[in-house]
Amino acid sequence: MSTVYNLKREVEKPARFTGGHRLCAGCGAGIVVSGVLRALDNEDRAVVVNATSCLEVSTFMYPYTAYMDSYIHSAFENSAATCSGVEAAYHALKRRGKVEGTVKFITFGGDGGTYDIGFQSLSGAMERGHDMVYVCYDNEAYMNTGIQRSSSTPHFARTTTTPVGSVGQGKKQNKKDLTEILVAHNIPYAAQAAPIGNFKDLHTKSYKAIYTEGPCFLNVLSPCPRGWDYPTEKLAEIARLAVDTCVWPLYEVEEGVWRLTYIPKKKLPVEDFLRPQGRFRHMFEKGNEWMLEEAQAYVDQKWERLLERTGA
Amino acid sequence: MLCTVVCQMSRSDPKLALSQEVIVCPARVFLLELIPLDAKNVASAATIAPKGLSPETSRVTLARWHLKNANNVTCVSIVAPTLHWRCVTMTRSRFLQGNEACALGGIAAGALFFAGYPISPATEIAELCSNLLPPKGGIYIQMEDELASLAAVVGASLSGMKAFTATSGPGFSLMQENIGFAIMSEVPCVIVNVQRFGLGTGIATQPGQSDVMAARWGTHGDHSIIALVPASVQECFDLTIEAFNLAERFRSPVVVLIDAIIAHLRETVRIPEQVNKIERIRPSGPIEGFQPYAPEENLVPVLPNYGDEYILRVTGLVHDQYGYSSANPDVGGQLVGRLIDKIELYSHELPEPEYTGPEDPDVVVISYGISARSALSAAQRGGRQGLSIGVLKLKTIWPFPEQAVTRTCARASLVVVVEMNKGQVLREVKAAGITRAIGLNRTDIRVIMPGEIISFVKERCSCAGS
Repeated sequence: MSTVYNLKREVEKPARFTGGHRLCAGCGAGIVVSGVLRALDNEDRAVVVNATSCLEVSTFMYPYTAYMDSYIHSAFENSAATCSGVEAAYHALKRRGKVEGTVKFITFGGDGGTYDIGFQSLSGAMERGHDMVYVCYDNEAYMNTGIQRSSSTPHFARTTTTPVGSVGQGKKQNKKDLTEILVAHNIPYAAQAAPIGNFKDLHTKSYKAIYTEGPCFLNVLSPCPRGWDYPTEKLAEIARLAVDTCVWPLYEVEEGVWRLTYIPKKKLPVEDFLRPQGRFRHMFEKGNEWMLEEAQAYVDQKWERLLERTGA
Repeated sequence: MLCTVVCQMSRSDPKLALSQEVIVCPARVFLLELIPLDAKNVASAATIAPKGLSPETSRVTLARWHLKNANNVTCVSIVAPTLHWRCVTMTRSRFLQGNEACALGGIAAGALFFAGYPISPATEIAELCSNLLPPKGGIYIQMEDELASLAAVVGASLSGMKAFTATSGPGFSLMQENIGFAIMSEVPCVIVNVQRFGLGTGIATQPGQSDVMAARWGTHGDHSIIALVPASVQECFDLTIEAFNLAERFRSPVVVLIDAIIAHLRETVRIPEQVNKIERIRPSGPIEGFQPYAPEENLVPVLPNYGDEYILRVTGLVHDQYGYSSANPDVGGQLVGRLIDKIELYSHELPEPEYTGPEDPDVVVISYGISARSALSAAQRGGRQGLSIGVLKLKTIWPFPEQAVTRTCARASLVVVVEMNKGQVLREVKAAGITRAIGLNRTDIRVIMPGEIISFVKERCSCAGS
């Protein structure tokens, strides 16, 4: 990688993740995956491991594939474990001189396949120290089966299993902080990213994750127009608002050192992020002001803690 | 609308949080559901007692009374000082999807606990439960995976709630260890498996009938299990209720095997005013020296719930009648033997297969699920073409109804097993002694059509009509 990031040069590289896949218009996942894979050096090969997800069903439909690299989809709960086996065997063969060149191992899972069902497998792989990158494209619910809550779904968000009505007001619990949990695995590199602006943030973090030896983790916010209920053209705007309201802070932890990679010039109120999304519509009804207050207080508290940790 | 209301309020404890009651009036029957009363409901209630029902006769002061849409759907709310009665829907029939019927069947059977994990094509069951259960004071929990889903269901059942989960092939595979645990520790629960196509991830949205053997032998170790196979949306409702009753009767997990077509099919379902419910038998007798796993005459033990005065020790290890784990060969042998016998020796209590057709048919078609619907249609059409086809539609698939199969097939010259797999039930039919049985199988997500069955029969049956 040259020292200065240049989007034009990056997009001129041969695509590792091609167009023509079936992801929805306005979906963050495709942008995230192409952004991550673009960070691979041209001469390096990759094995893409994919947990069952929207991404999997939309980018790997027989007889088509959006990946120019080798690919494996095993099941929902075991992508990191599958990748562990692939990586361990590759390195064993490499040590014996049976394979040549460089192969990188990149696993993609949605939040369901990462925060929930795939968590055990991910934790195991990170702890054992496989030389791989696990990328969670986090769209904050089970979108593939029709928008059910996950442990990544934020407080108050409406999903089909956390309905809004006389009894329930969306999800009752706060979002699980998976990035922090992964940091606690003492892995060499963990970061939280988002597809914003010229993708420098995502690109830089992906490059570090791919080319740092050992297990690395990227948690990338991936807005979903169907589940979040926003107009498809608002994808970039929504992602930007998540970052500028500090709902989704961008930071990285390299060898235990925390660093904020983006500090909003003006920290916007959480409302700005919530309002354009249908899943939070009920929070703006009369009498529900307390929900907005609670959401703001939670974000503020998390942000303060992050500032302390990063020494910013 | 003038109604004379007869409240059958004979319950001993009117403070019971959840129950159902029937109110009979000249025009129709109302099913009332009792939901916990909160201050808001009381405040909004007007104090008008309906005609013919005085506080004295009813033992409750009726405060609010609504009748809407008197021809079909009727909604009744009665607020009493301590209780809130509400009639949710009072139609005699509803147009439902198989998955919806399954969820409503579970709720009608008294299941107020659902723990699950989204998976196509079963997700609607979870979604409907997440909407319907909380207002009833029930629990919907979305777990982190299917292992956890069934584990939570087992836990809830041990605490005393009728509980169920719903999944599809990949999730069913993940549940297998907990199914074995539930059999071993004799925990009543219901697992709905909406079968999709193929092994592995298969095709998530397409139908299959290939989890028959997974339901029977998916979990390790010798065991018996009960599995039911609905062939219509009505049966999704009825057999889910039946599954809960059998789970309580036998203290065992019961699998409901639906296929994706039936699950997503919409048909009219008759919702009876009252459903036959088997409630859990609770132990009595001294707490000292209580043996939760001591079987009754029917080989089924009477276990307390967690929260009862009795101490209940549960383990998936081989255990004695106290629930203590044991490595004693006699204890192990007897336990496994009893767990099998308590179902196999009483399999006549399970839903019998349904035979439709002439008394002495040339051809017997054995089928289940969506394939049975095609078979029934084929028999009818074949009959008009001079073919003599009888259809044996299975309702219980495990334990396999060998006797009914051998009896029905005894004199038929041709026995065809129609199923969307490579012959999983065919193997059982042959094992039952009908070695001449042949299979009409499809494993390509396409439903086996009636015309296909007729052609198949015509090609192979010398007795085929003119």
